[in-house]
Amino acid sequence: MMFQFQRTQFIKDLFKAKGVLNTFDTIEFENVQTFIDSMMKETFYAKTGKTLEIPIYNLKDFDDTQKLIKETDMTNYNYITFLVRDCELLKNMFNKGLVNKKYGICLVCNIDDIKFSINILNEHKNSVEWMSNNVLSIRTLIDKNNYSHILNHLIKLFNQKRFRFFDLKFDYESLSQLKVKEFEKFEFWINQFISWVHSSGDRNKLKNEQIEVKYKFDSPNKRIFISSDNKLYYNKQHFDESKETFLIDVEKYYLSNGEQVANKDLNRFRQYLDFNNRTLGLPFQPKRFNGEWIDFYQNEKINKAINDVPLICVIIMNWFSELNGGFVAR
Amino acid sequence: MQGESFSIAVPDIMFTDSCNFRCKYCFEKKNMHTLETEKIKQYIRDRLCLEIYIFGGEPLLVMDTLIEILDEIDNIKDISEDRKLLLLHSAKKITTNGSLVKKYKNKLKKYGFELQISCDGPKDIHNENRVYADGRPTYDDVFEALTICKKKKIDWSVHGVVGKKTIKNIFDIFQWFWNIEKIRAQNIDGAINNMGNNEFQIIFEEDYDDADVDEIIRQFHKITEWIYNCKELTKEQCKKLFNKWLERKGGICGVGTGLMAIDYKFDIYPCHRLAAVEDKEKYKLGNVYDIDSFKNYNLYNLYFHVAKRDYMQYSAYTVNNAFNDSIHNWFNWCPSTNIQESKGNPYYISAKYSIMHNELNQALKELKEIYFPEVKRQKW
Repeated sequence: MMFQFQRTQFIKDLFKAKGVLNTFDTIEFENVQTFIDSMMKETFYAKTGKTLEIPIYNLKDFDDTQKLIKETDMTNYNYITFLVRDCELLKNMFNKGLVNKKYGICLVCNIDDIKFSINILNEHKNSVEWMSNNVLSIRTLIDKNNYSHILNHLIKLFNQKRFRFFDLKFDYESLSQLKVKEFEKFEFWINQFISWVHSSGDRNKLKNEQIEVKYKFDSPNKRIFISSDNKLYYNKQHFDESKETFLIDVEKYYLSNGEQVANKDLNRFRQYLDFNNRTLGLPFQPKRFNGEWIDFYQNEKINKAINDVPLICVIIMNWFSELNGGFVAR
Repeated sequence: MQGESFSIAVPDIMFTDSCNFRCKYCFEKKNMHTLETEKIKQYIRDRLCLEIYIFGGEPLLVMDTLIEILDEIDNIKDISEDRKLLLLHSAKKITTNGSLVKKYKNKLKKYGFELQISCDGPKDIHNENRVYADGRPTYDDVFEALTICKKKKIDWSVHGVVGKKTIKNIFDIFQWFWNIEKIRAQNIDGAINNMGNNEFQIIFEEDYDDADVDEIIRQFHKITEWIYNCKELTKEQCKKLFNKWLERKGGICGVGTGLMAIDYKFDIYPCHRLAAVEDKEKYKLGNVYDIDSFKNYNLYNLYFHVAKRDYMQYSAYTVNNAFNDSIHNWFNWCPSTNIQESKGNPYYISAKYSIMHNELNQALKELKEIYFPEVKRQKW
């Protein structure tokens, strides 16, 4: 009898270095040079509508990226956020002036920087136009030791200097260690913070004058971090804390297809790449899901699998359930 | 040992990691450790389990200990007959390489052991991977074991594995198992029913490529054609054999939940695979006789999550529970292997393995449509 089977899936297609970064939602580069190298090596294709995070460590980086933005149509196809970890540098950037195109700047800072950053916005005279069209956000990590101070200062930052876009990150491992009594204190501060956050109803009239928290409503934000030696990680924290557990060495397998990548190396990478919403294990369904707060590295660190979300993460999502606004990650 | 002891409902007890074989695909590290007889007898006296499974290494290397365990179970006081029978029944199920069946045939018969004998099929295929520690081939001794079991009416079944090197021999392996099942069942219908068991399994860990996928589809086509044209079967029996063998289903292993492994030191692991590997220390929960030694809770909770959330299994190109919709289950889902092969994720089934699964599944659906289509009932 006639049987001519047409295959549709092939092992060789399981890996290709070119365009590998484009399979993720948000791509963070270790530095500006890594970003440029990724385009040169075609591990990243520019015109595919991704969210890019590029760190700026000095004024040379700033000049290079401003030139890139000015002379290319990069920002037409991707949403770029420049990550700045130094308040003084941010001040100098504003002094120099920013090219007025569509991109974001995110100040990644701790509690001391937040206090300092209250003074920064006096310095942005040369960047008024950019400021009026774009988002300057603050990203900060909340843990069991700093939550009250951070949340309190973020509220002050908003009130005194009208910083209103906040990208909150949580150290779930640390927060999981809170005792029950202190847990109530943590909830108190979250509630205080929420009361300043944009919501619907009467306060919708003040839409542009309330805090906006970074949100992704439908699914986890699948991030990837690429290091300067072309290894992939879940995010920067993964890179900083556990370099040896990278997801895949793109440099090693640059010319390889799926058949040529060793089984375990391929599976380590694909268990993240193939992750889909159906395989997300939530302890309970929160009233308000925020994909920005699903941290795959922390899932693996705490629960031993990227799929299993820590209880504290879902509790925090639930606490934010009164929120009806929030700026959406692009 | 001291401290409060821990009851495992169904322990997989690694009596020994000694083995007289050196199978080339074996994941176990051979250390020549054996559980102390008195300690396991005390474990049973303490009534710390409902069932007990014994594995190795090669369990028949400690035959005398096995007999003592059965006697110990039989002598337990203050236990219901049902519970005693359950313990005895489970303790008598042994997976063995078959090499010592001849030596212990009378004891195996006397005590009613049920043997699952490992054999990878015809002689040259079996001897490809399954050899004695000194490199000698083992097939003749293993086949003799099957003959002895048949003659002495010892309860037996056969199970093997197929790997990269033997994919090209699947048709021959199928024929070999079919002949063995005819011997075991003594009638055709019985043999067909037996072929519904897990005769052989595709090895998880090997590095398959597209040529392997093409070959496995070719081999299954060859088998389907052979079944379709088999003169010793009626048309109805042909269809039944196809459905039974190629469409058999498996399920997730319950390890790490009520079923956990104990090694010769009474250390607890999610399963016997992780109790036997080189880096076993990172999978250890603690010791049976000291709950204060427990750590690694998250790993063990994860096994419970996996058991409760089997819909979360996934792999390359898996869409909408594709594994549960499979026409077959040649590719069993083993969380421990997933953890090892993906460097940590029990939900993720090896990508290359799953491509093979997906493609074979689709091919089998088409083969079934061609050779053994279901009669469509017309609606009036």
